[in-house]
Amino acid sequence: MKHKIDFEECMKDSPTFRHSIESAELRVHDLETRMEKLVKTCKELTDAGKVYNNAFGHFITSVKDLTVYFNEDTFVMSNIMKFVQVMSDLKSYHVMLEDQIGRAVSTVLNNFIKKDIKKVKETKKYFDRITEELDTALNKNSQVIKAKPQEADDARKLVVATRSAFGHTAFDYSFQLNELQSKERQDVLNTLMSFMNAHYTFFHQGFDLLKDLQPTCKDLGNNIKNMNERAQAESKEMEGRRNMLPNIEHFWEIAFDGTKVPVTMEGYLYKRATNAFKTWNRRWFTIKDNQLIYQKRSKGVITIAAEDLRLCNVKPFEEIERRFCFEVVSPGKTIVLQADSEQIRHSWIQAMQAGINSAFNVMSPRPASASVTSENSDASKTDDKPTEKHEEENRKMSFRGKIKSLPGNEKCADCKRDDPTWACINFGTTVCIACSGVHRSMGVHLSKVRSLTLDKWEPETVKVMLELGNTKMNQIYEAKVDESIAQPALPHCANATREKWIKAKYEHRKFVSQDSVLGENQSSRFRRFKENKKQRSGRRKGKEKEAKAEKTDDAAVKKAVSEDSGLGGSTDKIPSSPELARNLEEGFATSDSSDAEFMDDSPTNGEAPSVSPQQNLYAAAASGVLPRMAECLAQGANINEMDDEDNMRTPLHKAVTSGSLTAVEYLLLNGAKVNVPDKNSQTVLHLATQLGNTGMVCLLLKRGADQSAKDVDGQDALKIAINTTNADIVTLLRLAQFNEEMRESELNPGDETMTFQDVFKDFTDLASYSPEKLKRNSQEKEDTE
Amino acid sequence: MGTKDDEYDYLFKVVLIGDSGVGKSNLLSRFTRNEFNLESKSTIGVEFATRSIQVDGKTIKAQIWDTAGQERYRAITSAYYRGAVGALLVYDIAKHLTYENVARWLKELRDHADNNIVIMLVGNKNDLRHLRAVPTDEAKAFAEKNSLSFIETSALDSTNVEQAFVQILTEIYKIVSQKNIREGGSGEDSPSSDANPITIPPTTSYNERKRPSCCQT
Repeated sequence: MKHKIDFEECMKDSPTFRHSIESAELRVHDLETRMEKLVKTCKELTDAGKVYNNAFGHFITSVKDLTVYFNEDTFVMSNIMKFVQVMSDLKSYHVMLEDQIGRAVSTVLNNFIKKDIKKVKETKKYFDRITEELDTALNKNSQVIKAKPQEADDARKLVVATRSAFGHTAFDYSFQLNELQSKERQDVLNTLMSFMNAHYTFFHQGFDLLKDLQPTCKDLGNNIKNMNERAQAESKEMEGRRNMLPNIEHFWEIAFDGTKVPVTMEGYLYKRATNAFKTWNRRWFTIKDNQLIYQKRSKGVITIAAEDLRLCNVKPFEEIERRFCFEVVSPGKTIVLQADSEQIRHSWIQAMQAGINSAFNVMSPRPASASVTSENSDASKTDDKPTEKHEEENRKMSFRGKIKSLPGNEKCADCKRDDPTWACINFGTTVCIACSGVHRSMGVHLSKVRSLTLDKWEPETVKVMLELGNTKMNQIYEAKVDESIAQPALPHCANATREKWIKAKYEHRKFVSQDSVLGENQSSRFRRFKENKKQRSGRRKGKEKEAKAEKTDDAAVKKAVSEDSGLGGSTDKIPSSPELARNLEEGFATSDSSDAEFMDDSPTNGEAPSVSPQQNLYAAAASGVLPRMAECLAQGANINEMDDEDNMRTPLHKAVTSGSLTAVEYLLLNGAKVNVPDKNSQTVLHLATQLGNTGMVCLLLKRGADQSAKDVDGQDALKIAINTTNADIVTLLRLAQFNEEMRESELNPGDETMTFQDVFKDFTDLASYSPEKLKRNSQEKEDTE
Repeated sequence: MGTKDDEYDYLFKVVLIGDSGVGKSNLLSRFTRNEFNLESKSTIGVEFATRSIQVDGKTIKAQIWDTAGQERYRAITSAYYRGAVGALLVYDIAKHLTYENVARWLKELRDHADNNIVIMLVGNKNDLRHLRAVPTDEAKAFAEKNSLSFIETSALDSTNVEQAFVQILTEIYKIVSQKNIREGGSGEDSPSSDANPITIPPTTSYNERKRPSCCQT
């Protein structure tokens, strides 16, 4: 304002004018510098804003990513999404702000510098030139001499003209300078105002946005407060629990609770490995269903340390440096365990001893069926990870209950006394202790007695028991009771009566009918069974044909025979226990040809008088049907007689061909000789090896099969196994052979027989509880070849 | 059959494992029968042999399980490792892949064998110098990293076969006899049952021992 150039002075081109022009120019220069700085810093500001917006964008993205983590927590997720929306809006406002600032400041001021100031500067150049011209004109005019009036006149005209031009230019210049002065004020203020306005809009929009969010935030705040309170309550509770931590010892100081009837206990113990290192491993031990089992902390695989605690002896073990040790001596092995403290050791020993004692108490009070259900419910309770292995264990654990629940097995097979605890494993019956004594006295060639509670049972033997049973066997052995020969024994009859009855029944087989009683009595049931089976017959036909082709000439006879018999008895198990029925089905499924025998559509005639028991036995063995075999043996069939119509094969050969471990075990229990060669010098071991039946080879080796026998081609079983590259069978054969050699030469057979037994036990368990694993193995081999 | 063989102080089960074709069966036959067969077939399942050696005046009987390297000739694996206290993990120095698979065999050992099992890494076919594919230093470093003993052998020219078996058996013997002293003694005076087992460094400088006269073929 105060620097405004006076036009009068301008016309006069006075020093004042010049001075004011000069100062105005300086100011323009100063202004230009400052403006440039302003533009530059503004640029920096907007650039930083862009960086900020970018970062903000990244931040929003990562917040959004949080939702992936909370994708199941809808509450958290919905709130996050709301915030993300608001943040995105905020970000876009920011972008707008940067944009406006950029435009307001940079653009306007740049224009000011580039246009207005430039124009003034150009005018100044022109003004300077015209000033020079005027000076030159004046100079010229002053130098004209009086003698030349013409020249003087010219010079005067030039001066006038130049002065006039100068006047205009000076005026223009002054005007522009003045104008710039007034414009700079407007522009600067205007620019700054835009800057402020942009911010006003920004904050205003932001305020509106966040104001709308406020109710949500308030709700959320309350929610968070609640959450916090809850969390505090929880952590207080946890804190409370921590205060109970001194009591953690309770968890460790496991005490044996003697009041619980099925003895159960669990906890960590150190177990000494049975190898030469005697490594101590910490394992989780459990006493359940009279078994001692253990597993690693990490893996769920369960190992059985003691099959049946009731057969074990447990005592402290002090001949060792470690403290708190005790040993569990079970049939066949001793395991050394170590507890964490004397008290825990005491508890474990107590628990195991209680288990042993319970074996003697359990003998009478619990009814058979009840025991089954309780065992089952126990199992389901603890069964948190139903692995295959686990199922196996359950199956195994309750075998006694299963045997007892077979029809007729709840009473002694011979005197009908309740709750028998002994078994004749070759007959598949349960008997009371008094009758078991008579059985024993007849000798093991006639009757093999085992305790249901105290003896160790092999899985194959259990399966034999499950396929027979008192009802079925008495149908055979008490088919036509003649009281003139012997009075039936009663629960509390005299010993002499009992002895006479049992001997007449089994030793002399006085009451056995030569007709097929199983078929006659149960033909209707059998037919029903047949109907059921028929449905499956379709997909089995192929196999049937093979089976038929194998059994050539006498096949027709066999069919007629087995149709009316054999399986009849098994149907009445089905209603009593579905699981048993399933077992049974599995049993048949393993014996390929058994279905073939029954599936034939020829009419059932119920009688087969022309066929001898011996021939019946061959057929029954070939189909692996136990009750039928039992009947034939009772009728006088010779278990070791060779079939001259079938390469001089024994019933055992035929049973091996059937693939049924149970049938083979049954024959072996009843005195079948394991090493009899057929016409081609093939023993059953040859046969089983040829068939690639690992479980069968394992069973036969356990039962004393001689693997040095050679067939007609001079091959022993091992050679056959190698030729068929059946690794499992090769391993079993070589292991058995090796064990034999070691036993012959060793004075101290110890650990190595253990290994042998362990390995054979592994294979036995696989064959009995998960035969598919053995099968799959050989299947793969075939595939790869 | 030498009658002396019937008596022994210790019986150790040792397994031979490793890829198919690395020479496990020939290492076994070289050690137990001093035989070598260039044309031997793949092992199916498992083969056994025994031999007794003397260590510290004690008779140690080695029960050696030679297992099939080829997957389809292998039996249920748990049988192999039951009770084993030593393992010779064999690879072929001329086939790098057999060395690469050592890690897999180690895993199988960890899964199935005793934690304390003594493992010796054996680079066999040392006679094939011109075909070497696995540098000794590399295998040695690997063995050290995994705390295995290490030796290179040749079942063909007998190099180090005896040493390999003697070394691993001695190592096992030292661990086992150490334990027996600790646990068999009256032990009243040293109640610290938490003492760590003493680890025996590989006895690489073990001198070749004379074979006992019993296992002549």
